[in-house]
Amino acid sequence: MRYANFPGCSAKTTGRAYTESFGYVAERVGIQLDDIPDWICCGASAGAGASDLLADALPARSLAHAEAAYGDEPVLALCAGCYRNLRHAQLRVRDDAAARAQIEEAIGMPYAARADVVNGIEPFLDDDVQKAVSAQVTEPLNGLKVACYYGCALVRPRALKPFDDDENPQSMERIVALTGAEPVAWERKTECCGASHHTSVPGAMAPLIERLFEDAKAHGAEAIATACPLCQLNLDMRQKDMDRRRAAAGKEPLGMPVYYFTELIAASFGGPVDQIGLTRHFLPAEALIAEAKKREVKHEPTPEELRAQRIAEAKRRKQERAAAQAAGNADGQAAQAQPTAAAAQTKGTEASDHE
Amino acid sequence: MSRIGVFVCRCGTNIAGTVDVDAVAQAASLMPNVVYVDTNKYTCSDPGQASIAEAINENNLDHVVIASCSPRMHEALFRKLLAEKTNVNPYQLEIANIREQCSWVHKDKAIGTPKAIELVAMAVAKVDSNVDLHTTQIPVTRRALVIGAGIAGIQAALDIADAGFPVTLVERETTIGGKMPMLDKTFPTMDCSACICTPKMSEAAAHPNITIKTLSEVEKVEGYVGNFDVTIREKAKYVDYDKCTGCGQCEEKCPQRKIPSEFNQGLSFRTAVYKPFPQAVPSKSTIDPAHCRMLTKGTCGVCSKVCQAGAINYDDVDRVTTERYGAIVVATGYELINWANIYPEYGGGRYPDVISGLQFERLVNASGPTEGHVLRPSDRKEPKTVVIIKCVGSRDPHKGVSYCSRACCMYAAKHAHQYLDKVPDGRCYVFYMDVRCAGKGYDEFYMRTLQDGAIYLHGRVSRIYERDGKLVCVGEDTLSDQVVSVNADMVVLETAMVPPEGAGTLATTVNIQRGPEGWFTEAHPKLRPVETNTAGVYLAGTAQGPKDIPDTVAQAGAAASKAIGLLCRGYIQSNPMITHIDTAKCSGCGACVDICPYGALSLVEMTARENSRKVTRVVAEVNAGLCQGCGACTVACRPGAADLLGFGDEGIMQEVETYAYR
Amino acid sequence: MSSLFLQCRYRVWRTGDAMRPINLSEEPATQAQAAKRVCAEAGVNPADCYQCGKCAAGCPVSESADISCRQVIRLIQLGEFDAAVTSRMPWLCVACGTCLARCPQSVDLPALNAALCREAARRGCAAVKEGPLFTDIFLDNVQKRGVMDETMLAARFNLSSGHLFQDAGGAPTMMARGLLSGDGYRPSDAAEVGAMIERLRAQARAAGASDDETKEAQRL
Repeated sequence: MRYANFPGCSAKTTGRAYTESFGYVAERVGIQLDDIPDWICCGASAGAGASDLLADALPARSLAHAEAAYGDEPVLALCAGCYRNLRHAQLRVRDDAAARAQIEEAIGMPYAARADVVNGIEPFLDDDVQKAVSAQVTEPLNGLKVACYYGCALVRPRALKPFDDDENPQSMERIVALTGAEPVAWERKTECCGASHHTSVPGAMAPLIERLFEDAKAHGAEAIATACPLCQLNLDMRQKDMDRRRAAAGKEPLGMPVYYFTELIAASFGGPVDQIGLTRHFLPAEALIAEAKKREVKHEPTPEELRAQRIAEAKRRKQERAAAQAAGNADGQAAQAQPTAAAAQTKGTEASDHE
Repeated sequence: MSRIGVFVCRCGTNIAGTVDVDAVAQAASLMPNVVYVDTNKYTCSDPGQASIAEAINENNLDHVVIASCSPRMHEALFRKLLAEKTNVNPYQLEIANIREQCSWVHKDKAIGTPKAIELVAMAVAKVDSNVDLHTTQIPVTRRALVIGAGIAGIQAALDIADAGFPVTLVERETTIGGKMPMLDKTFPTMDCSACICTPKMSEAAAHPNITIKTLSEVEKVEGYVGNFDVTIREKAKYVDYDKCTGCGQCEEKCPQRKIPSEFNQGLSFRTAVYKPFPQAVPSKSTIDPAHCRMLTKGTCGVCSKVCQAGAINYDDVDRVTTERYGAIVVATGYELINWANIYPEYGGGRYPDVISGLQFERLVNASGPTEGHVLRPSDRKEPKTVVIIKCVGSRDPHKGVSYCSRACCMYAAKHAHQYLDKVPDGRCYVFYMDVRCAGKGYDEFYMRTLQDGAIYLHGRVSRIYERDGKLVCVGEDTLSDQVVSVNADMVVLETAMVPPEGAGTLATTVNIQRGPEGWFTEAHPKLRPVETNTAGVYLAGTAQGPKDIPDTVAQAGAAASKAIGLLCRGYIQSNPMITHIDTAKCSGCGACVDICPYGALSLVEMTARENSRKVTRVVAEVNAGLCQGCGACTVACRPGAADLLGFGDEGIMQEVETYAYR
Repeated sequence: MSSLFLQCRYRVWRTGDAMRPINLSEEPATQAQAAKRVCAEAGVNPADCYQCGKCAAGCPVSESADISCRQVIRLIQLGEFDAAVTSRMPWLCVACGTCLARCPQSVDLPALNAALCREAARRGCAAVKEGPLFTDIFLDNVQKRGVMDETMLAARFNLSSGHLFQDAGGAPTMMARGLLSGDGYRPSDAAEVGAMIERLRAQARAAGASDDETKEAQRL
C-alpha cells in the first residue's frame, strides 16, 4: 500500500525516533511512502488561534500538493496533531462546498479532498500488513507490559469520524500484541498530554502527565507506547521534572520509558538500536527492551485450551466410572441405578461446557 | 335558483377584532343567489344555532354558508343542526374559515376584511354546486383485539371483556405480564409489583371472554374500522398446551442450563425448555428452539422422556389464523435502550457491576437471583457504596434520545430507598439532571429518600473506570462547582425507554403513525389521546410514549372505553364524502388502484348498454367502507372519472374562478 | 479546597466581594451582542447547554482552571460575556474534545474556547499573556519559513515571555540525541506561503473589531 507522506515539522527533530522506526518497519512490511512536495506546517494549535480559515488553509495547501502529485493516494500524517489538522481540512472541503470555495481561494490551488488522511496506526490495521509484521518478529518482547497511549488527537473529535472508539480504542493494542509484548488495560489512554500548552501554561499541564503515569503504573505497565511525537516528547522529556517534584513530596518515582509503537515493532524485528530511534530517548530506553527479549515465555492457556482440558478431564472421569461400573456389575445388578443417574448428570455438565 | 343563506360569526372579538363583520355581511348580501345574511356574536352557542335554524326555516333556504372558525372545529356541529332542526341536507353546508386562516393571522382590518369577503364569496360559489349526500350504517364485528399483554394490554383486555365483548390478547413472549412482574416494588406506595400484577394475569387467563395467544405476532391487518381482518402467527411452542400440566419436570432435567434468563435480565440462567417465572401465564413450559439441543442438533430428547403428559412435540409448527375484529388496542410497550453500545465512557458493558435499573429490580426482588439480597453480579458481595445515574440515554440527543423517560426520576428514588433500606450502612449517591416528581405522593417519596440518606448530586457522570476493584465515577456537582468522584462498588444506570423492536413493522401492518422518536402517535395530543388517525385503532400504555404504571393503567382503561363505545354501538356511520367513479368516463386503467393508500379501489367487469350495444368493460369500483376520502385517486385519474363527493371538481373550480375573477 | 470556597470562586474573582450579588439587569447590552457574534463564530448555541457538567468532570485541565468549561457557557447564558472572555479557562483548553464527545447536547466547547481566545486576543485582555504570544511567535515562524522550527520557536518564546529557562534543561540532551538539528527543509514556494499567512492573519485581525460593541467593551 502506498501513502503520500506528510512528515510534519517534528519529523527530523523531536519526532526523529518515530520517523526512523516507522521507516524501518514500513520498508519490511510493504508500506511505501511518497514524500509530498512543498509541504508546509499544519499550523498546530496556533492556526486556530488566528482564525478558523487559517487553521484549515495551512493543512489544505499541503493536501492540495499531495493531490496534485499523487491523486487519490491516502495521505499519511505520523504526527497525531498534524493528522487532526489535515483530517479536519480534508473533511471540511469534502463535505462543505462553501468551505471548499473559501479554502481553495485562500490557498490559491484547487483541492477536491478525494484522498483520505490517515494516522500512523491505520496502515497497520491491514490484515496483510499484520501478517507481515507477525512473520518478521524474530526477537519477541516477551510479556513486556505496555500501556498503549492514544492521546486525544487520534480518536477525537467525533466530527473527524475517528478510526477507533474514543473511550476505549483497541487498535494499537492489537498491533503491539503482535510483537509478543502484553498490552495492559488502563483507563487514561485517550486523555490529553497537554500538547503545546506545556509551553504556554506549563504549570497547569503538569498534572495531566502525572495522572497518565500513575494510572499506567497502577495497571502494571512497564512502558508506554504512543503514536504521536508531541505526546512522546511531553511524556519522555517531562517525566524527569515530574519525578523530581514527586521526590520532594516524598512520593515514589513513576518514570518509565515511552516508546513509539513502531519502535517496539522494529525492536521485535531485531532492528539495530541506533537505526530504530531507541538511542534518541530522554529516559534510557534500550535496557528494558533488551531485558524483555531475554524473559522466559510463560504460556497462559487460552480459554479454548482450558475448555479442551476440561473436556479431556471429563472423558477420563467417565472412562473411570465405566470401568468401575464394569467391575461393579460382577457384584450385582442392584447397584446400577445410582451410577447411571450420576453419569447422566455429568454428561449434562459436559454438554453445557460446549456452549 | 338556489336560495343561499350566509351567517357571519363575530366570535366575540376573535373575528370582529380584525375583520369588519358588518362589511362582510354587506358584501355577502350582494353575492349571487344569496337571499339571507345575518351576523351573530357566537354562532356556535345555543341561541346562535337556534337563530340559524329559524332563519333557514322561515326563508326557505336550501344552501348554507357559515363564516366562522375552522371546519375542524364546528362543521360536525352545524351539520347536525341542519339534519335535526331543518330540512336542508347536512352536506349543503360550507364553512368559510375566517378565524384561524384570517382574523388570527392578520393584525389589520384593512387586510382581514377583504380576505374574509373573498373567503365567503368562494364558499358561496362552492355551496351552490353541492349535492345532497347521505350516510349509511356499516355493522361492527363485536370483538376486540389487544396487541401486547403487558399491564396495559391486560387492563384493556379485562375492561373490554368485562363489558361483555370477546377479546383476543396477543403477546409475542411466552408469558403475558410484560415488564411489570420483573419489578420489585412500585412507587410511591411500595406495594409488591408482582403481587398486584400476577392476579391480573390470572384473571385475564381465567376470563371467559379473553383468549390469550402467546408467542404470537400480528402479521397482517386488512379491512377497516369495525371489520378488521387480522392474521396472527402463533409460533411453534413444541409443547402441547392442552396436555402440559406445567409440572416443570422437563425444566429440571433439561441439559441446557446456561442460557441467560431474560426475566432475570441475564443475572441468572434458564433451561431450553422453560417457564420464565413461576407465576407465568399460561403456566406451561415452552421450548426455545434457538437453544434446544434436540431442535438444533437432533440429539437429546430428555424432556420428551420425562414428560408424563406426553406434551412435548418436537415437530410442532407455526399456526397462522385470520379472524375479524371490530376494534384494535395497541399496547406493545417499551424496551430499555441498549446503553452498552452508546456509552463507552461508562465501560460499554465491560464492567459487570455497572447494571441497568431493571437488573437492580431483579437483584432486590425476593424471587430474583439473589433472593432479595443486594449482591453485586461480579462477586456476589454486598456493595457498600452505590452510585445511581439518571438520564442514561434520556435527554441525550447525541448518544440516545432527546426526550425525558418520565418514570426514571421516581424509580431512581425508589432504588436509592430500597438500597439504603436493605444495606443500612451503605452509601448511595444519585447523579441527576432534574428531579421530576410530579404525581400524587411522588415528591413526598423523593423527600423521604433524601431523609433516608441518599446524596443527590446535580450533574452527569462523565466517566466510570475501574481502579483497585472500585468503580470510580467522576462527575461534576454543579451546585458546588466541584468535580467529584465516588469509588463505587456497584453502579445503577437508569436507562431510557425506547420503542420496542418491531414497532415500525407493526405501525405499517396496522397502518398507524409513529413520531420522530418511534412511539405511536395519538390522533390529538390533548383531545384524542388514545385514538390513532386510523379509526378503530387505539393506544394504551408506553406504546404511545414513556409513562409510569398508574398512567399506563389509566390510559389502558381509556383505550378500552373507546373500544367498548364502538363495539356497543354496533355500527358505524359511513362517511359520504368519498370517491365516486363515473363509469361512463372510466377507462379501467387502474391508476387509482395503484395510488390508493387504503386499498379501497379495485377493478371490476361491468356490462352496460353503450350506443345501443351491450359492452363489457373493466372499470374501477370503490369500497365505501375503506375509502377515507383523501382524493389521491381523483388526481391520478386521467379521464376525470374519479370525483370526490362533497369536494367535486365543479365546486372547486367555482371557488377558484370566484377568487380569480372577483 | 472546601466546596464553599469553590462556590464563591467566581464571585470573588468577578467582584472582589464574596457576598455581593451580581445584578443581571445592569449588564450592558453590548455584552450580549459580542456573545452572539463569538458564539456564531464558534457554531455554538449557548441555549443548548443544560448545565449537566459532564464536560467539566471529564476535562483534563479543570483542576488548574479558574472556572470550569461548564461555567464558561453558564456565564454566557447569564449575559456575563466579558467575564467569560477574560477568564483563564479558554487558554487552558487543550482542545482534546473529551467534552464534545460526551456532551449530550453536542455543544462544541473546544470551538467556543478557541473563539473566546481569539476575542480576548483582539481585545488585548488575554488572561494568559503567554497564549497569544505563543500563537504569534509560532505563526511568525511559519510565515517566514513555511515550516516551524521548534528550537527557534522555544528560544523566541522564552525571550519574549521572560521565562528564560523554561524547558532549557532538556536542550543539551536533545542536542546529544540529535533532536535539535533537523534537515533544514523549506518548501520551494515559502514566499507564497508567507504571503498567504500574512493575508489570512490580517483578515482575522480585521474581523469583529469594527463594531461599536467591541469599542464599548474596550472602554470598560
